[in-house]
Amino acid sequence: MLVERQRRDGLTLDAELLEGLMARPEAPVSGAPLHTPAMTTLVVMVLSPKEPKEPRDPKQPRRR
Amino acid sequence: MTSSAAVAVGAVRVLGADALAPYVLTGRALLPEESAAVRLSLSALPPVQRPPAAPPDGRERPWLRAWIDWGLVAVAARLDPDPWCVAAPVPQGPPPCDDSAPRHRSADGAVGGEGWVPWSLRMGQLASLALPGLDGPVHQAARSGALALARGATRALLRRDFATAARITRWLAWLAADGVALPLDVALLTEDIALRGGDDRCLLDAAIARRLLGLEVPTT
Repeated sequence: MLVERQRRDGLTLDAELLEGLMARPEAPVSGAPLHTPAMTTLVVMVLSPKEPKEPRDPKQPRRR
Repeated sequence: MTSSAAVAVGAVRVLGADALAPYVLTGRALLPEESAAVRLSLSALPPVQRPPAAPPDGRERPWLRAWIDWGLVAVAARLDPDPWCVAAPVPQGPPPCDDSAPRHRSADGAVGGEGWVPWSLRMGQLASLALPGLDGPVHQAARSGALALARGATRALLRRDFATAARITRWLAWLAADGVALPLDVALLTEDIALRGGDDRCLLDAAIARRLLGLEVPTT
């Protein structure tokens, strides 16, 4: 917000704050959608090892 | 003076000439209370009498304020029948940005000027000057940088930075009204920004662009 100072002879505006409001920089983060899936996601998908399977229960020896 | 009035006085300065855009675009007479608000705002912080050099050599923010103040004073002096005693010197114009300009300035800064990305962003910050009847070094720079402005507006739109896109599109609309051939359909661009950009300031810029393009006819 602007900082104003009340004085007997009127109002003053802070030049630096006003210039900051006038500057209006561009948005810092792009919200643009990606045309393809991110490469990092693809690499992670390729390199990630398969989930280890559950070991089977040892077979019971056959009884004769 | 109330705090809300003080904020309104500051808002007039932030808007610059856009505070009086309804009168410029419709041709209606300036109301006395509007004129008084502009005079009060300019008395609260008089325009800089020695503007700094244009960036990148000079400081950017005081230079921007000097230009925005110049636009406000020029429009107010034209609309107001009473004489104005506030002077706003014409600051140095921005560097040109022709079609061969790179995206960004080269490392040595010797060739290609500043690059169309920072140049178009800075022109967008001066969008309040893109009004009928205003003309000066910034407008001349816009005439010589139509392709850079088109690139800047397209880049901002692809980034979904609609506020920046609307500001740069203001200049494209001003150029179209000035008879400059453009490399894109600025009417379509304006409509897209107006539909997808939700910010109030973005909608203001889009509405002024529509007026500049003749897409909206002033109501009597």
